[in-house]
Amino acid sequence: MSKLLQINNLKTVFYTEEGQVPSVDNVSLDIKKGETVAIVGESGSGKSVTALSILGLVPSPGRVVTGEILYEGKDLLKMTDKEIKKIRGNEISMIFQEPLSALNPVLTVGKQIQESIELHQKKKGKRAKEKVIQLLNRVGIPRPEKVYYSYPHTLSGGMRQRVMIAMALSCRPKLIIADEPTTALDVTTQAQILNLMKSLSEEEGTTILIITHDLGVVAEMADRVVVMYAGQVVEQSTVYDLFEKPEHPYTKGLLDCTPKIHGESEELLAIEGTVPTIQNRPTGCKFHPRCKFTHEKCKEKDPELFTIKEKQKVRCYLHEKVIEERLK
Amino acid sequence: MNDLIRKNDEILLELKNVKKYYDISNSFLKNKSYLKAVDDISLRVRKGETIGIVGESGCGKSTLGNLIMQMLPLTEGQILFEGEDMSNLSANQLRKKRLDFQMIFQDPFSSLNPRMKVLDIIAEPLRTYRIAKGEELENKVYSLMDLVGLNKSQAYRYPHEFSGGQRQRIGIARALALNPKLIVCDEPISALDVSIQAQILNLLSNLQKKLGLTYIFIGHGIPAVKYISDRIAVMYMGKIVEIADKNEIVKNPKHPYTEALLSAIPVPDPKLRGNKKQTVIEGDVPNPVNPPSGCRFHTRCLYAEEKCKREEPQMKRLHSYHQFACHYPINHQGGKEFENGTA
Repeated sequence: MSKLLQINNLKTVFYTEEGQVPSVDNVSLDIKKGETVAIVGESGSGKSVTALSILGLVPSPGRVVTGEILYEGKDLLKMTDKEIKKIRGNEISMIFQEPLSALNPVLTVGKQIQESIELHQKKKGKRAKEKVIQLLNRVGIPRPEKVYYSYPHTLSGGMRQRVMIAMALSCRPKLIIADEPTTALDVTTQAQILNLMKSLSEEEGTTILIITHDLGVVAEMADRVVVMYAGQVVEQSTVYDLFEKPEHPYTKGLLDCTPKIHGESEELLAIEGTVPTIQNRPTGCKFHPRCKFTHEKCKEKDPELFTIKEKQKVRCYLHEKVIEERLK
Repeated sequence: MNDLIRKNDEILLELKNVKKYYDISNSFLKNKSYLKAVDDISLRVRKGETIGIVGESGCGKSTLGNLIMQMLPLTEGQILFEGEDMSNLSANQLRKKRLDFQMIFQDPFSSLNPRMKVLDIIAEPLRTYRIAKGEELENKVYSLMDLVGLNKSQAYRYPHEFSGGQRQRIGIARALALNPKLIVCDEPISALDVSIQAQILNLLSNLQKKLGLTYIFIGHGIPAVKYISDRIAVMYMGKIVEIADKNEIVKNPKHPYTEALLSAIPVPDPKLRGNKKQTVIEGDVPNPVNPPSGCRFHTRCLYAEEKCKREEPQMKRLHSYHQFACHYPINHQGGKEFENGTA
């Protein structure tokens, strides 16, 4: 499979009164055609900013300072505004977390979806409207002719998210970036939306980058997983390896502290301490103040991302020895 | 499991046919209509237990919490706290009674006054009720902070200096200040990061063991609710549709809605992907102003039959610790009759 998107050493900083704070710190990842990749992390891990960086949507005072984002071999960061506008919403589209604030409250649902079709596909009037109704149908909205004329506030949360997906699909994108698409929804609606996204990737081969904090969603959706903590990638592996044999203490901790629905409930193993804020990230390994295996080295120097086997990378000194031995 | 049905269990809180209707009549058009936020709920809460309340947004679970806290007047029914009908109390008597029940809120960012120091936030209930002052008050606050895992040195800081998890700890300390018997927790962890949620859940369950507290735990994340609760009540459109021991309800759900809620939870194990039995319910919660006739779930139910459209199912008893309201319960289609009864 060829790579659709490749991010190399991306660094996005925010300019604040306290100086530059790196939100995304040297992140590299790639997404192959047809794959579903999940970025997992807690608030402040830089997962959303990574997604926004791809589309050049980082809000001020943030800016991408170094790195490259290759989309089909072309660097998105070097493109002019005009060039990137041709890709954004057309070849790469985005689904946001909060559909109510992402939709325009004074435009009907139909008009909003039609906008991108008119812009990118040069379809006008009746033909564009037909296309919109087709899309609303595709995402499972009942009575699409009626919903075409409704305003966002009259729809339920699940419906709004379907409208967002319809909008994202309008130009048959190659890549959909979904930033916490189900966090604001109830579990029953979440299951409906996840099923819809799964069918998109299976039937139309759409590549999906899903950003979430919910490991359940990851297990249901992803082929590969990127775990982020404090702006860095701490572990990267296939979804099966990640759940079966998590290698980074943070990933392990996340899995252990998620309550399970089946089985008797033993005590949850919480990760102690708090997620560091972006201004107060510790030196050395960013996870060391909360880690059970911390030793001196962790406090001094940031570990690199060790490749421990094909498709699995871990940013932790615990794996350094394993690799050294293998090299001998 | 049988310890849940002991006869001599002490009942701390009892809800009898509690209703909360909002009048949304249009006086101009002269049509009467009500939004039935909580509709005929009966529930008994034993001392020292935790009842989890789950349901989709808009099902009335938070309204129920507010009714128990006496923050909203009842439309009909009774709430008995230690056998005493709360709606009969005068304002003054109620004020005294309020010492015994406290609340922990969902959003730790908006439930703490940003202009008060932590010490003052936790001390406020103690001052209001004139329980302690001066050095005694300070010491009491310090011991509360210690109890919830905060450092004494943080007492003179403001809420914005804390992370979400620590703020929730401040909220818990404030709720504990008056030595309450009952705490209503309204989605206390849903605004927190995953790794912090477990800390707060563990803190709440340790405090319960230490202080013998009774919790009403409202939440929409069923795994977390299951972790902390003894019994779970499932609400749909203002009604409890099923209530049972937590392990029982997960293994052996009787109401189709409970089954659907459970199967919608994404399982954190990719190997189970695909071969899991999924009963996805379609559509959204119907408009609560115009609830469906008969069983309110029949419009979305996979097993609905003619009877469900006509007749509203009553609470039936499987055991004394498992009750549900459904004409055709799962695995019991056309099976034996159940005894009527309430939780």
